[in-house]
Amino acid sequence: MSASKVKQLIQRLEDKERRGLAKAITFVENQEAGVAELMNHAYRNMNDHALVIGVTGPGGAGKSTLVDKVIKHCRRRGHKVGVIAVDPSSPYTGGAFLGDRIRMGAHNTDLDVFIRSFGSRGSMGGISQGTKRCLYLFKNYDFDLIIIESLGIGQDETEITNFVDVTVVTVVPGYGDAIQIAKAGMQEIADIFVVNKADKPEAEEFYLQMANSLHLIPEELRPIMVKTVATTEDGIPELLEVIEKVGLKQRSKRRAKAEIRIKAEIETEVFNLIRSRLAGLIEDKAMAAFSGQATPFEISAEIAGRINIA
Amino acid sequence: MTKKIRVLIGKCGCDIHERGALTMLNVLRDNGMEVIYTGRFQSEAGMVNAAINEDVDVITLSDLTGSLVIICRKVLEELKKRGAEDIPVICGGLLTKDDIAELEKMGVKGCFATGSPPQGTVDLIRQLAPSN
Repeated sequence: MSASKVKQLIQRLEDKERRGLAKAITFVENQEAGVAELMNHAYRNMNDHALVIGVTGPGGAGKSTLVDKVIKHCRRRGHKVGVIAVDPSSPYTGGAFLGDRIRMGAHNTDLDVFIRSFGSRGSMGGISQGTKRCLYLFKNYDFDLIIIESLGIGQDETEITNFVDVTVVTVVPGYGDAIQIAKAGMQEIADIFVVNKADKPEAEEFYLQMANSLHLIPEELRPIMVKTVATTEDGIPELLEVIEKVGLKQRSKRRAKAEIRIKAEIETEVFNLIRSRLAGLIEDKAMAAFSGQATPFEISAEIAGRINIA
Repeated sequence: MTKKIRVLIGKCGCDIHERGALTMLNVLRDNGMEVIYTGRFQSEAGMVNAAINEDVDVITLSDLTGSLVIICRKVLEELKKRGAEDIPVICGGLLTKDDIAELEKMGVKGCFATGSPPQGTVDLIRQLAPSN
């Protein structure tokens, strides 16, 4: 049953059928039986055509609205756009309110825009394992631009940069001064800083403060700053120009990024596999520690000793 | 395998009343579902395209202008046009007894008039979601 389901999904991916993509994403997200076969196929058949941009930044910075306008301007140029929009899942219920579409409602009827909302499903901010895999699915289609809108920004959220060509960090005045920007480690991941809501009175000062702190970075590595007002589309054409320019430069780094990414992916994958295999054993052995037969450290060493690496 | 129920909440046409949609959004989320909200003022064709791309298990339509019969009919037509009539549609909002009879006749799988306890919707969605 499941084997034929995988075959069917692979066929739909090959036919570039849109609902096939939607179904394949669900299949991967739910980790259904046969997902390895589907992913192997998707990885082998992906194309390098699309420019992939990651849009990140704190909640309320206007990421979704910005993405909405970027889509609009790309559509004017006739580009096909795929969007991966991530919102947080509740760690308590596993439920999620995925609201990125609210800002992108204008593209609902456009068949050349494929927007898919993802719950973060237990990953700490940024993009989940499922989301990363789904990017390979998107790359089996003929999108000119793929946008990953990831939630929030955190100190450990540097991973996204290896999955995208261009990283856009969206910030807004009033979110703290330039010190906050320096703290969050955003400088290292951003190729482009968008100062959104630039019509706010304090925007100019914020922009200058940021520009000042960025000047410590050598010019060839320095993120480019763009001022936008996403709601009125001010600065969006300029942003697109910068994205294209940076994209061209970053494409040459694809091989280097791919190397880091593949290593990281294999590592996560291996640990996930080991974890699922050992889960039962850990549960059983934990009882021994609980009843005082051994210390947790002895048990850990014993379990780790069972992994034989030739 | 970790199957998660995905639900689209949508509002079509010129209805500003959002409270019902927002309430259900919270209820469904707190019941462990992934809820995608389209926002207001959408078209039926857009609703169906969103439902297909998001691969939702159920489409829920909220409306408080008394237009659910019109909206649901158009959504069902669009689903057929896109070959996605396997996605069940339910609705909630301002409904008369006649509306409900007509909606059920056209194939809407559940109707919740104002004042319905939210748990009924939760239970129905769990029932309608495939393989649950």
